Amino acid sequence: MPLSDAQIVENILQGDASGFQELVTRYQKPVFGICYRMLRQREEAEDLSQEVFIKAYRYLRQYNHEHKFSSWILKIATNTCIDSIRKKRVDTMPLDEDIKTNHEDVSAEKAFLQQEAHREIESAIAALPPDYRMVVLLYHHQGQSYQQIADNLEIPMSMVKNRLFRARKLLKESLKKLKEETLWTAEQVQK
Amino acid sequence: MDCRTSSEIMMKWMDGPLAETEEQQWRKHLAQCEACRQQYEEWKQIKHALAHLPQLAPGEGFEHRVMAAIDPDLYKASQPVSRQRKWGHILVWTGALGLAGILVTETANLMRQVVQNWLQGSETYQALTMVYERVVVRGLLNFLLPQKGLLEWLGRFEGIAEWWTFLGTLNLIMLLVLIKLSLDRLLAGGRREVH
Repeated sequence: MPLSDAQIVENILQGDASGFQELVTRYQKPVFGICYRMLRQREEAEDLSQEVFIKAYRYLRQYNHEHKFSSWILKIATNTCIDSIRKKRVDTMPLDEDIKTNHEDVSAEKAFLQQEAHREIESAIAALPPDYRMVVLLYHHQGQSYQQIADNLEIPMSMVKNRLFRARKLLKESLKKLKEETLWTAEQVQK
Repeated sequence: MDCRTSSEIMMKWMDGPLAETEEQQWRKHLAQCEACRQQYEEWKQIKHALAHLPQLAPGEGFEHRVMAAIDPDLYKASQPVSRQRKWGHILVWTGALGLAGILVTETANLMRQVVQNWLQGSETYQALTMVYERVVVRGLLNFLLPQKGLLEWLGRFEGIAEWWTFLGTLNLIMLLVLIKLSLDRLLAGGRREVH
């Protein structure tokens, strides 16, 4: 039976540093996902993800076992991303590469449509202001509650709700615009 | 249900599952209202797309890079250091207390001698000493005379006074060595922790 996150943390604090690799394996995707979608540059996102794990390791004694380790590490990830964005003033830039999805068991046409849908939503998310983007990712992608997001970002819950509401509206508008552009391009190609 | 209420429920639905009756009424409205149904289809696509965003992974060897960047001895080193520190503190405090004890005793002895020398010159002291010797010492001797063995045993200590001085000096030297070793340990522990 695999060890729980809390047991691994306990082992690390007892001096078994090798256990940390398991925590990196478990949480590298959500951490990298947040960093990449916030920074939109793979190399920088990897560096930032590494920084997140190094911070987590260094401050492991501060981790409260009553909370989920996933929430704790995502809190470090969100704060590290926010700091980095503030320093760099990253706003809205296109993703530096298309995000590949797994299409092994779907037809080529369906795969293309899926890829297109993912590309559109990723572009729409990337176009959101960073504060709104973070809330959308934490709520819809990481499955965090309003309360958890409020705690992570250290903002009132009403602000979380407000940001999420506005972010969804912006996403909808953005997607509508993207669809219209795609249709227009398809029509031009047909002509 | 009007379109405004439907729109509010739509946002609640984006958050998560609705209450059964609320959802039934809302679905009924959607079945009748073309505009709300279209809105619903758009929101449904967004909700689905957000929930199915692909999990992104960092490049190959990310875990190894993280493991290479952390200090594997951070928590391994901290425990022996704290144990060393604990023992170091005990050693230093014992040494300091011993040293303070010796200093206080020696100062008290010196002061006693100074006071004694000063008093010996006065007539009152001589008179008091005479009374003391005649009354207390003689009384004691009269009392202890039957226990000759005890007197002999006490007498032995007078002859080995130089041994007591030798042992005291040795103790002081050992105490100083102990303090030096404790300080070395503490400094070495502190350096390791900072590193």
